[in-house]
Amino acid sequence: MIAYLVVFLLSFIQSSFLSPLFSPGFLAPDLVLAFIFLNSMKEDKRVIFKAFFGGFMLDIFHDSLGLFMSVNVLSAYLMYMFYEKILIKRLSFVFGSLSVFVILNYSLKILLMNYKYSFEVNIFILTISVILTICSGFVTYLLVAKRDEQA
Amino acid sequence: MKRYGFHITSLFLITLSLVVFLTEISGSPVVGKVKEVSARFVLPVINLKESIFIFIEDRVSRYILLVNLKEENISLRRELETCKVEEAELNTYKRTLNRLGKELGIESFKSLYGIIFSRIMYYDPSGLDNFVVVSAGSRSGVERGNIVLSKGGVVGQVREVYTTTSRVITPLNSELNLSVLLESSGKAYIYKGGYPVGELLYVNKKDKVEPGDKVLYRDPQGRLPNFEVGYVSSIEEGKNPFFKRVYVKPVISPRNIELVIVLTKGKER
Repeated sequence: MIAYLVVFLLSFIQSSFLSPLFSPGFLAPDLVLAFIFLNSMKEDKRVIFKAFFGGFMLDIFHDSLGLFMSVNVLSAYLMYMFYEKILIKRLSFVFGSLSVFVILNYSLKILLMNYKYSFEVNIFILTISVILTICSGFVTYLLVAKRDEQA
Repeated sequence: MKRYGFHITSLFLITLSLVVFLTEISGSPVVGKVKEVSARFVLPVINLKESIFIFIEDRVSRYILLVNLKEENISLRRELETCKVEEAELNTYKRTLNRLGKELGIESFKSLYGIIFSRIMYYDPSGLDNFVVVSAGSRSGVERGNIVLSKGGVVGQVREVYTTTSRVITPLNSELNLSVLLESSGKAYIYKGGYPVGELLYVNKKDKVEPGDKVLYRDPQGRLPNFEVGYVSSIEEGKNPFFKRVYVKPVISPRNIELVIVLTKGKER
């Protein structure tokens, strides 16, 4: 239950505080994706429901029903499948795989939005957004790993 | 959750989301109802999100505006400094002229024109930009025939003067006739206004005129410097056996300016 509350808070922060800074809004740094990434590494199958819920909340906030839901669930599914088979707890591996998933997530979002609407992507903003998403996921991973080590 | 159950659920959720997004099903009554109920459930949160969104967007746009203003301010300061240096240089020439004038027994040098800063109050509602109304009139010393400038180019000529305002006809007005010269050849012509391009009258077929040549204002009394009126946009041979038709595109578009300078007749500045 707490996890869903965290997803709700993250989607709220993402859509209200970060979306105005990044145009178009759906390209804002994806905090929900970073959370999904951490859950996938725990090999928790319920991650797809969290991803679905997070996507649904983001879709409600962005009025883009289906976009975040589909991309987040697909990302969660791929991450879970990947980390279930290969999980090397080396920072370079975690960082590299996270970067690939984030880039894949953003590419899918742009592809889907481009299919339905016409818009221009600012490469600079997109790059900043992708970097911030990777950094937020990686820093959270490091914090969680440190906490687990201490425990 | 079993393994195959996980795959099926994932696949189902992805397909469902994609169908909802890609088709117009999100506009259907059933999905619309679900969306409406969900939105109502989180309505206070959505309202809060909207107010935060607007607040941040407003602050960001203000910040960007301030940064742009700062850059413009720096650029204007640079221009001002350059102008000050040039003014000092001109004052030196003025002093030399005065000294030479005294030695030769000629009347001392005086400013040949006065400057009145003004603002455009009213534009031509027809859209042809035939005239503008400026916020300086006879009370400020404006007279009929005064030249109006902006950004170093001719905006037009004062045609009617009222107490606090003046009507200025632009180079796009067919009533405007100006004495001009071509920068490339230095030869004098008459510029007749027109929309969207004016024309140089009586340009001899032998005269060398090229598209892009600058057309400068020429004060018949030699008081004013040569301000830019426009540039030659096209040349046609025409039917007249002696003269060709030379069209001039005015350099100043009245809609793009707000502040203007009215040059009045010589006064001690």
